[in-house]
Amino acid sequence: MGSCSEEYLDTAPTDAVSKDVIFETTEGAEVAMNGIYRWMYSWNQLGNGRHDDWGYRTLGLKADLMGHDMKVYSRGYGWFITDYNYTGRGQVTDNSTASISYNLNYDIIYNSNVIIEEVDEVMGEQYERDWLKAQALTTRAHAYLWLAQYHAPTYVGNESAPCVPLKLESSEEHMGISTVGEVYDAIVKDLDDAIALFSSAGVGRPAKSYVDIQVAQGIRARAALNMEDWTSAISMAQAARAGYPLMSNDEMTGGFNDFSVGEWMWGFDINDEQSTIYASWFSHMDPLRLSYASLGLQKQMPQYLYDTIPDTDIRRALFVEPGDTTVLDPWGTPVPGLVSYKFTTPSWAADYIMMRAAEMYLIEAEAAAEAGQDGVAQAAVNAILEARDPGSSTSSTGDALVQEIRLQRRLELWGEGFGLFDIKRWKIPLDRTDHDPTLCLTTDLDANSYMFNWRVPQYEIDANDMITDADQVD
Amino acid sequence: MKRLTILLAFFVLTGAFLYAQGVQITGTVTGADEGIALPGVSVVVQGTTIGSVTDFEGKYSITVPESSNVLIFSFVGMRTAQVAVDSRTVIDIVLETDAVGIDEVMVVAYGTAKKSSFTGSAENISRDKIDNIQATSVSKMLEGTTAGVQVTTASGQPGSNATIRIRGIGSINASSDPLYVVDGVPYGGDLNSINPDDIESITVLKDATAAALYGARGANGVIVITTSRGKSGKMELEVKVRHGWSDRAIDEYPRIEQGQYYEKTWEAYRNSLVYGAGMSMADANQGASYGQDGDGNSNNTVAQLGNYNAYDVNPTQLIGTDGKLNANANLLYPNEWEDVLFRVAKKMDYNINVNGGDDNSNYYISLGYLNEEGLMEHSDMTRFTGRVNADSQVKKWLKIGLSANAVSYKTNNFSDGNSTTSNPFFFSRVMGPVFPVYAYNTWNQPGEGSIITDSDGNATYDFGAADMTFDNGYGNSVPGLRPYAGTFNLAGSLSLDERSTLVDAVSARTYTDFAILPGLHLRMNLSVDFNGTSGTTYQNSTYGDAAGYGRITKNYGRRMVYTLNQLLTYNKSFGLHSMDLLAGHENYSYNFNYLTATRTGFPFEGIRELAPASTGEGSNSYENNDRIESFLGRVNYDYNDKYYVSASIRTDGSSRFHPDTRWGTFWSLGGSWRLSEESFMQVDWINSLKVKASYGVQGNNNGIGFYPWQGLYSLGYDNNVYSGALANSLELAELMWEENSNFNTGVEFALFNRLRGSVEYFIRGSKNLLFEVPQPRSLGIDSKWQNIGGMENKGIEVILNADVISAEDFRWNIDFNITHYKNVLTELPQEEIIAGSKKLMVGKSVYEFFTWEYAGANAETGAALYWFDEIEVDGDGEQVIDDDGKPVKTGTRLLTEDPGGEGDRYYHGTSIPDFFGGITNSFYYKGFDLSIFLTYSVGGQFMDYNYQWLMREGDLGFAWHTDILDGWTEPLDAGGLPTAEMGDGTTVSYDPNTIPRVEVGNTDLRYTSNRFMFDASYFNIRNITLGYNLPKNAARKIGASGLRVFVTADNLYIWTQNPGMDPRQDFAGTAATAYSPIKTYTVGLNVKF
Repeated sequence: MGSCSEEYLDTAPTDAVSKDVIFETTEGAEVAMNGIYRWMYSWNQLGNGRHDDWGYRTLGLKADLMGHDMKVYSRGYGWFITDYNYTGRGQVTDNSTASISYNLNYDIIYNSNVIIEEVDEVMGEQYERDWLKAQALTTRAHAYLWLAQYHAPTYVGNESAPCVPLKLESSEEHMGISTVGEVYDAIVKDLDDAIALFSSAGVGRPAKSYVDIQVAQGIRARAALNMEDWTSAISMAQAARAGYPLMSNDEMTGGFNDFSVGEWMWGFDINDEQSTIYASWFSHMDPLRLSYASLGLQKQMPQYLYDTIPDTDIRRALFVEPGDTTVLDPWGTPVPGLVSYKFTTPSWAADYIMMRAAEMYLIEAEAAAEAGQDGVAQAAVNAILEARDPGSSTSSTGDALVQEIRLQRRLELWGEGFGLFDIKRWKIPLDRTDHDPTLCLTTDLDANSYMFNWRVPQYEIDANDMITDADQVD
Repeated sequence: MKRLTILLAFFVLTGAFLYAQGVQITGTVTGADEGIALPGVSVVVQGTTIGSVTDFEGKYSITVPESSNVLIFSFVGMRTAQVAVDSRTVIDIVLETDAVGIDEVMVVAYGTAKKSSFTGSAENISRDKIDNIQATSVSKMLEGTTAGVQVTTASGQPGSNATIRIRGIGSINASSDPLYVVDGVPYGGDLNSINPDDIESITVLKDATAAALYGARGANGVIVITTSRGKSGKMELEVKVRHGWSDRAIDEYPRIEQGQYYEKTWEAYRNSLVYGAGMSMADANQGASYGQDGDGNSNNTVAQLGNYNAYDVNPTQLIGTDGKLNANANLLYPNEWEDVLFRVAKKMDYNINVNGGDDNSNYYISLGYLNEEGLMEHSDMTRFTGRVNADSQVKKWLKIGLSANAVSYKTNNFSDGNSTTSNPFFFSRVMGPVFPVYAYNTWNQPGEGSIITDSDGNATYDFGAADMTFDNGYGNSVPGLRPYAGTFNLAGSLSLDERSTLVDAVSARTYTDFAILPGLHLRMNLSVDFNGTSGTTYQNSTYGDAAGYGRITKNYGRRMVYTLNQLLTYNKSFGLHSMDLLAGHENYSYNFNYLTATRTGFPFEGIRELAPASTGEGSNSYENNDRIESFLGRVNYDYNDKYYVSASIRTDGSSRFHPDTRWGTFWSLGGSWRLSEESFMQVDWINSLKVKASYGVQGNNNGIGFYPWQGLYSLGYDNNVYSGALANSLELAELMWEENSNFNTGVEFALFNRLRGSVEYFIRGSKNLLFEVPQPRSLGIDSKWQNIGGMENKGIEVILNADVISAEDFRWNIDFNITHYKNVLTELPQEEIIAGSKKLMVGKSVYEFFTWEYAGANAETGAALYWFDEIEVDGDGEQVIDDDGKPVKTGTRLLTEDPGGEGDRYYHGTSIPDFFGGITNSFYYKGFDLSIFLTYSVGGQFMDYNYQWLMREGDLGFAWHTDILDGWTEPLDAGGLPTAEMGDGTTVSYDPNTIPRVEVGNTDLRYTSNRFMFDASYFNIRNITLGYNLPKNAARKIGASGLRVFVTADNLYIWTQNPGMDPRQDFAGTAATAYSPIKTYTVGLNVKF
């Protein structure tokens, strides 16, 4: 008190530290890496307390609700209805669907960029630096893949179409909009670099919430599938799933809430403290507990799709059989037919899935079938069929096999965030057979519709010297 | 310094020299009013210490040095007279009665000033002016009391504060709040901690001369609160008792009742089947009345409303295919949400104070108790306050004083201002009228129409009926599900939940004043503001969001603010000159500690602490520090009590900025001229006339956080058990203050012995605005603070006070003020910045609405139509783009039904009013007094989001405004209606005055647009007070020295353009679902002993 010294005016926060402190050692850099992982499932990224804003699973749910395989039972509290109805696309304000994708991914990209730039100089072992840099490259590529899938048309045939700004440095330089091809080139390069660094680092990960070499390979397989690079898709998917078993029936019906299940390759381990209660994925997916999904926003599978699941297939047990009154909501009332309870949890501390082995089998199967390697494709898809519906298998070939694999993908990965992207990739129209037309305002869209691509948020255009309104394309 | 010494020595010596010779002058002083001689008048030779006093006959004698020519006659209550000797030896003089308020002493920055000599702009609001207003926080007392001050509606929540703007809007992203100063030192406590009964006066410092000495914190004006001090003389004990009753000051919006609600919902659902699902009108009519799905469940209108049937008829018979309610239907239960949730709130306010003193010491001691209920059940405030103010002239050279305030208060409240189910104002406003508070037996159930009771016979609440079944009329028993807030009942859970705050605060100011030499003082002030706030948020485990487990959050915030300063003052008169000087040094230190924890898993209801809950859901703690060090100085100079100049300077170093930029200098220069003191202005009807002007620069560093310059990673982003941190901010080494340059000029006058007032003109320019400049989101950050941008507030203020009648028994006084200002942005970091309902652009105001433009309802379909600009298209069908990358407009406006996609936004006026102010009429008649205080605001726009909520397209379960009944229902006769082209080239007839059709799910029908904007003008009967003072003799008979009884009504009536709306909620002119402001009736008794 009362000092005239300059130190009197030097203050510092206690809930934040300077960048220098973070990037002193590899331990510090790992703290920055964990911040990225946490942000991937943090609530309230837009900062206005919305209950539909909890990281990548938000983006995944939007992708499913914009597809044709997930329908909504009623308006309920109205969350995500604008996505389901395709009525929010025109809104490009700081509170829109487009902004949730934009903000989350560029936050991840910025934080990854800083690690990539700083980590070579921090104190520690070389393998630690390699391991951290590999993770940051992977999370950056993962973010760009989400952006490309949402904000641009699919890769093939649109390589020179506008995508998103490609920021590969933490600098304040404004970047114009890159093409789909450029963004995918960067994704592939990051992942290839990451895989090499993971390999040279040669260390395991402390938990499945970290990305590792197989997760990087899995993301690389996803990108390759989008790029119709069938060879890479097959090899990367195979490498990615190596050593991961498929879920047992008990695990399939266990609620998809536990990242220790063997099949999970990447997921977030959410504890009581980090759960966000009503503002969470499970609140919007679980019809059996007091949640938005039990208050009218139950998520259903269309009847026709449900009817394709054999009675002996365990996946049929993830949806309420129409007429079945034994599945009860928290008030003891029967849950409506066709409602999914694939994602259910006894406690809010429920884990979020990011990647599992079945997807890798399906990528491998689809890529192989498309590449004409029917035998490889059959083996991969039959692994899924055998696990879900023991004794069943396919011996189809050619286009019939492709179609069968696509169906298996829709059934197996229902609710896991692929709905819209598969429609774009397959270049098929949106077909909302069996949706309630009084709720569903957009029942069909042409293949390759511009409506599938989110716009650039207006605030990006306003603030970025390199982007103008003319870059907003439909 | 050496030069100064020589100069001072020179003056002292000359003074002594002049003293040696002189002429004796004698005369008589009389008062102008009654012509009687005035004893005790002080007579001084100007510029000297030579003085005399008149005797009982008003006579005086004085020796005037030859070099002096002016005598000054002064007497309490009289205007001071300056008279030229001009070789006379006998000077008789008549002193005029002083018009009230001319020479009051007012509190200004770091000291006091005589109003007559003050060169700046400051308005004193004395105790008697705010005495009538019944408010628990001083912030709620200021609306309309003086010019230049704008106040938002204080929420009716007990313990809430109003927000204040002085002379326009100072900042865009940083704070525009004024600085509060209590008893001479910037205040670090909560305004609620000050008992309004302890306040002696409030001074609003408006311009640079008045506020620049507060440097980096003075840019938005300063509100100086001075508390009561003891008066020397007899000890006095005062007891004040007040009881009040409060109700909503603004009634709820009118909403449609149950039968209309079913009919309108039927129509909205029917329309969704027609316009949404593409059914034929006939099929849709059938479906809305009788619809049934494959399972035998109904999906008619009643089913759409969660199977709620408020009537005693079969739900399939409730609404016919004509959309009309069954004529035989009778209501089974009432819509009683407001009855159950609201109440007439009671208020008790008891105060006692003792004051007294002698020539050397004085004291003021007070105790207060307040118990104020909120309008909503379970909201209230209980406050205990205690204050001791004391001053003592210990030695001739030493004076010590203290003002200390201790307070403890607790508030119970709930969330408000948002659209959550836990906000009772929102919940009760938007809940459809057919959803009951209590659970009822409905149609075809045993006990039809009766409340369902629990095993103890108590009424049970309706929690959305998810656990109940209803007869759907097709022989099926179906579950209920209230579409809005399906598991929630505020009436049932409010009593089980808790949102409380417990505050303990101590605020103390001490000073020690050393008189070093005559006129030279060293004063040291030390002040401490301590505030401890302990909060509890508890959600019960029985009902609602936390059913089954319960949840509690406890937090504690400890704030400690020190201000320490050393001030050297010197005043000196020589000849016709007088000066006072101030030099000082100050340290400010703010320290805040916060701790919070949340747990869940309660085994039973009852104990609202962390201990019984089983599972931790998070905890956190942190500390913040903020410091300022300052050097300051001021010079006031006056010549002959006619010409005044004052100048001030202050240098502040703030911990919020980088060491290289943290020091800033602020200054002011002002002058005034009392024309009425000139001999050529000696006319009868001019009592006083002063012109003044000032200019200066102040700073603003508030509202930007404590560490805005530092590049930081935020801790606490842990990935399960692995510690995590996320990049939070960039280093901004160049960041510095926002600067406010303030020009003020005006005239103050007192005329005809009965009219007083002032007219002032100001230009308040902000530059280097602390702007959160939006960054391309692709950089990974939203924005960064930069000193970019400018804004200007130009305005005029008029204050008038007139004694219309001032007879002995009857007096009538009018007090009036009016302010007009215009806010204009002068510089921005981007060409345009869209922020919510506003768009910032140079030349527009900071609160300029920018929203979609409603054209009218499509005459044929009732769809809502909005305007947009047609874009030029080239031969290839591509948009033509100009050099700035913007599409080129053809100048033609087209219509669209898709505002979010195709529609354009346009400017629709500003929320800033054209003018605003207050007017008070006071009457006194033989001990009775009546005061009527009105406030008003004219012009400006208001975006009523609450009205928009009630005009939704048919969001199932939500209430409707009665205006919806006037909406489109069937095709209109297009004859005579305007037509325009749609985006697709078709032509459409539309009715600009018709509300669109209703249609479940079609949000374009209620898209935010100017359709929901209203004129923001209002008129408020702020306060009416009727009081009676018992004659002194009568008071004495009961042992008292004075007794007053009064009745008062606050916020008695508010007129607005749209009943239900409160345009004062927010300076930005948008509605929130706030706690309604209250009107209060109070009866009170003050007794002095």
